Amino acid sequence: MKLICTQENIDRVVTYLERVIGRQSTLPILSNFLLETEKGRLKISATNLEIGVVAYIGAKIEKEGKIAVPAKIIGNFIHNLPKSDVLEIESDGKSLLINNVSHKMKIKGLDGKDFPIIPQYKKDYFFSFPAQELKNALSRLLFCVSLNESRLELTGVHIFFYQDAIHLAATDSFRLAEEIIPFTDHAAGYDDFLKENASLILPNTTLQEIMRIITPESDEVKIALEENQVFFEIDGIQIISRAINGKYPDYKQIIPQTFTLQAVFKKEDIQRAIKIANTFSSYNANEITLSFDPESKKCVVTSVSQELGENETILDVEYLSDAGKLSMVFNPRYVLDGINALSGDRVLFLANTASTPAAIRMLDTEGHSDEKYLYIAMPIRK
Amino acid sequence: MNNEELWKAVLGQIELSISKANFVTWFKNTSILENQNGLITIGVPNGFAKEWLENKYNIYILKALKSLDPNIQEIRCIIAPEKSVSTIDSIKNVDAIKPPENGGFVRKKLIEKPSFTSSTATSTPIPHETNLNSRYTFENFIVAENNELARAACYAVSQNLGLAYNPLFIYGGVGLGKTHLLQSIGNEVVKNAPEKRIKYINSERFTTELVDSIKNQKIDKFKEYYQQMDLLIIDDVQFLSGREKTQNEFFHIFNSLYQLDKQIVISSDRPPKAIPTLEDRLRSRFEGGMITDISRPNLETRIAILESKVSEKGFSLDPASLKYIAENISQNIRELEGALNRVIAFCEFHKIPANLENTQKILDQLIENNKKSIQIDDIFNVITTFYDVTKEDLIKKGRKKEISHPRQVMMYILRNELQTPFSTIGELLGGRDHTTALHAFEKIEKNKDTHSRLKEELATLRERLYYN
Repeated sequence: MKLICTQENIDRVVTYLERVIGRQSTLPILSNFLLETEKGRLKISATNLEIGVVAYIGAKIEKEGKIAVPAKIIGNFIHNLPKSDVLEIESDGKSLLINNVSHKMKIKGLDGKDFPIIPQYKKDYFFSFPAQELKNALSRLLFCVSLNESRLELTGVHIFFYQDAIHLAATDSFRLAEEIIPFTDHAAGYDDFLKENASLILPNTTLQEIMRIITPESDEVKIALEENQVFFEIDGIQIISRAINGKYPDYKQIIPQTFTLQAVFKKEDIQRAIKIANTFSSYNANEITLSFDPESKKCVVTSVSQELGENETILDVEYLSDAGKLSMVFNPRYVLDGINALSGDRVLFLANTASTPAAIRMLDTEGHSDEKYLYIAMPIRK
Repeated sequence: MNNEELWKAVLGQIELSISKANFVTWFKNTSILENQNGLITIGVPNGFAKEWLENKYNIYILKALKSLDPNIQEIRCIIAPEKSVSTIDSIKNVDAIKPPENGGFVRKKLIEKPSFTSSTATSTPIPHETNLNSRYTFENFIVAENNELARAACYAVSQNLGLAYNPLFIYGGVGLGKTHLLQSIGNEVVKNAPEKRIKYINSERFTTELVDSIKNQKIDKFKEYYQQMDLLIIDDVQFLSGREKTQNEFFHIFNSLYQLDKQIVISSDRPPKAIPTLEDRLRSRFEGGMITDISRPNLETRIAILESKVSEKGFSLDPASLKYIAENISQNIRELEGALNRVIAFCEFHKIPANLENTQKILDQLIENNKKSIQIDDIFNVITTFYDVTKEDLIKKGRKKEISHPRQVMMYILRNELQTPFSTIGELLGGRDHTTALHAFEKIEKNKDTHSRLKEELATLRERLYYN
């Protein structure tokens, strides 16, 4: 194998690929990258057998070939080279030589044919989503995903396919976030696809990777499904991952249709109040109390620690529906996470009773709530 | 050769020709799904394995298959989701979200202090170790004739601490659910009134803590700690027998709790009367509240228990196998669960279907051991130690009641457990006439249901015969 490419191109993809490399693995070859030439380009792949990533970069190919080299070594070398360098890469099948004007490196490699074959999707992709929108949605969902492996289905994001939109949801069973992404065009076979696939659960780790690969310049994310595997393509980088088997809980039924209590806060105010309350609650039972009083149009946030003391913040509420007094107990982290995920400077807080789910939504500048994103937190029963 | 055996044979061959790491990585969770006209369909867990088996190992696999079955021409792989997943899901309660308990995160204490020194006599409830296992609740306790009264009493106690029945004394054989009921009371109280101070402890641990506290000269703290409980549960109290100092301390703790109307729940493997060397003042106090027993479950109950365990574990087992297990393991619920676990583990490990035939095979050994064959000498041993008589006493002439009763019981057991002919029984016990043996058998048979003391004796004897 012999080729010439730029440091910038190879550096960018190596950053993504490095994250895939598993730390402990029974197969030593999995800590390697596979470099090979394909159709006039350099193809670099990495996998931990849960997720595989394949990246193509432009290069001037002089001789075909392939080799597997330790990811850590080549990564460290490439990252430290000056930008705008041009690299000459050459391999005799046993080791890899990388040269530029002033740096030289020879890495001992392994035979490329021992590297796992990463399944690739060769047909047309079914969907394409606006990349930035998907990235934003994921950033508002992934913090809700359960890290507890005992309920495997909750360790991923659930995707529900509809005719004109997809509904994404994540929950760790204490709180839940849902995002709706509408789309207008899809491939011709979509109706048939809908009949067979109503929903899908994607692993958290895969989506974290997708989020990283989407750069501010990324335009679209292509997605396809085949045999319980999901294929993504972003800016010429292909990611393949398994889907999680299992039945996602029917979360739609727990979202209340109507809310009697509606309160609008300044985002900054309520964030501050909860953070202050958090100092006491974190030493005790992790509980804060939100008490709404429609008469005075105030909300009081309190927390008490038997050992350390107590605190009380009186919050101005911009709007409070007339639903009578209501006092709710929450884990502050679960409320704060939801508020932090929202953009805009005002927050709509919705609730019915002290023991039913409460919701948090975004408010735009005109005071309309954004129906696309919904955060649900369960109060602590007293 | 079926598909499963064929695949096992193939794997055996391949394992020899590739490295262990490769074998484990690529062939884990694979199976033959279909064998049709020489085309073998292999189910693999993911896309990587599919590509690898189809492109790299296809020659090995095909060669191995052909050596076993020359008709096989071709192989292909498909990604098959693991089967067990779906069955678990259909049973599992699919609650989307639920309220966090304790705010979700509980900070663990960094250093665990000995439980009774960690508390001070303040009125505010400080979190302390209850020793309860949240797995045991009333909801998952299976109610049947044998335990209905005990369960009702326990439930009443949990709803009305210190007022319903105090003290509550539960007795019954090993593995029949005493601990489950006791813990359920504790867990129910935790649920309804978390501020209550609850302590579950077995008498062995109680003794150890007491000894420690004497050693460290903290006996006052020990007493103080136990005396401020709202609910004290002592398991296996029969182990206190013969420990006079412990009994003495326990007596004082018992008294002070009782006077404050604090609930005490006690369990034992026999009624208070039958616990040897238990101080009279303790015995009379145990008998002052409510005494209830748990007896062996009948066949239907055992099947019900198995069914609930099976669904809890997300496994499926056909009714015939369940019945087989329940019929053959009748003495003890813990053993019942053990047998079930064995069947499940065996079937999952060897990937064989869980049917009656396999169940029988798996449990064969276990059941054989269970029916420990008893000898006539064993019966002699048990009778002589239990009634404190000698073998000679039983054999020689004499009709004193202390001797004649054990002798009659012995005859009954010989007949009932070993089906010994009456004439042989007579000969064994000092050359008596077969009618004497017949009379003894009939007498015991008649009285065993009406005389509770006799019933107790027989149960204990049988237990000792089979379990010691």
